[in-house]
Amino acid sequence: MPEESISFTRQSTELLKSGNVVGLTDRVYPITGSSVKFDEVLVRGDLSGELEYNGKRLRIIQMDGIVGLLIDMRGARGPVWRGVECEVLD
Amino acid sequence: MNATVSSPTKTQEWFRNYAKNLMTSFDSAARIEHKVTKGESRERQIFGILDNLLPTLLSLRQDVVIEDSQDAESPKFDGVLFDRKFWPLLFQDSNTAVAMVESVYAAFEIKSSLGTRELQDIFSKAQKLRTMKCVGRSLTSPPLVTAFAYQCPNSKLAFFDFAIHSQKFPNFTPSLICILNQALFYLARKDGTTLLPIEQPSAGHTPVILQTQEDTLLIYIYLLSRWATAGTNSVDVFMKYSNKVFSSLKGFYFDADFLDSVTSDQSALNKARKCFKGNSNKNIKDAYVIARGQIGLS
Repeated sequence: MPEESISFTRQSTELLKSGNVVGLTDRVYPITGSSVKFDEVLVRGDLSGELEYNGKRLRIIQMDGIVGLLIDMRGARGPVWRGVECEVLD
Repeated sequence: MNATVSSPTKTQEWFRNYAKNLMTSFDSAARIEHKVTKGESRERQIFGILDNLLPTLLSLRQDVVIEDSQDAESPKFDGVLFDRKFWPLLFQDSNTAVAMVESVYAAFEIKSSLGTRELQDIFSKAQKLRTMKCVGRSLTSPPLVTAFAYQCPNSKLAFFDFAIHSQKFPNFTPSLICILNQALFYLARKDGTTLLPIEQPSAGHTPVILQTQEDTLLIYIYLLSRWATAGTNSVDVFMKYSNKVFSSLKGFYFDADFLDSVTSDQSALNKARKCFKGNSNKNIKDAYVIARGQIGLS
């Protein structure tokens, strides 16, 4: 029967480690399977090990590349990790 | 699906009392024979509550026509939630205002009773508003539509019609419908086994019914407050005042294969719709199981 719990928690772009923000994704990504690939992660701290993203536990398993300073229509930012693939641990 | 918990919080009690007062005022207004006056009285009652309780970051105003820069005009809405700090009005007299579409976050329709005709009226107004053109930086593009009804003779059928409309016309559907002391219809995105509320209708959303009964007004105010305070976390704190209600909510929806079948075949639609008509005491889940069987789905 199609009935599910509702989560009113706001979805965020924050990647957390031990409660601290260590990265920001370029948009909110829904996590539905056993892995997720973020187009961009703006690095704010240590992204190694277990991370939390909108209530789900993740671990980065690979990425396509790193840009030290990215300048485009969305402004200047960095460092940015691109094509960041994560394993969903939940 | 029932939001009622054994020991309601004080906040729940207050909102349940507001809902009772609204129903008392609704019944009192029923003695007025002049239909327009009766309708206006009921609009004032719910807008009085909304005006008292909603955050004031955005303003609430009754009887507003919305205009876009191409001179397209919406039907008159019973109310709007809009920004009066930064946006001028185009026209105002004692009864009616004309607002720029870019300044409007959400438009309200109020109904005494939510039947098929009233739902079609809401859908039609939503379509007209949501095809208007927003230029530049608007509050939300296009404005959202919400409806409030004091009563609904058959909320199962109303939800079926809401779900079908939102499947056929995903961009033109109301975002939130409240039936006092019964249920809320809203749109969600499925994330695994969780439903996440979304505001802006778009293809791929899932129409959901929350059978919230006497806590319906509380959750309606919460969802409207979420709209009215976008970008802040104040409603996340508000939710904690009745955490048990919010954490125990479950939403019911129709499977995608069912919606695809009934929206692509008029005969299947008619057969399925019949299953939601009639005995209004029948559970929506039971009606759904029967409807699936009627159109050949397991």
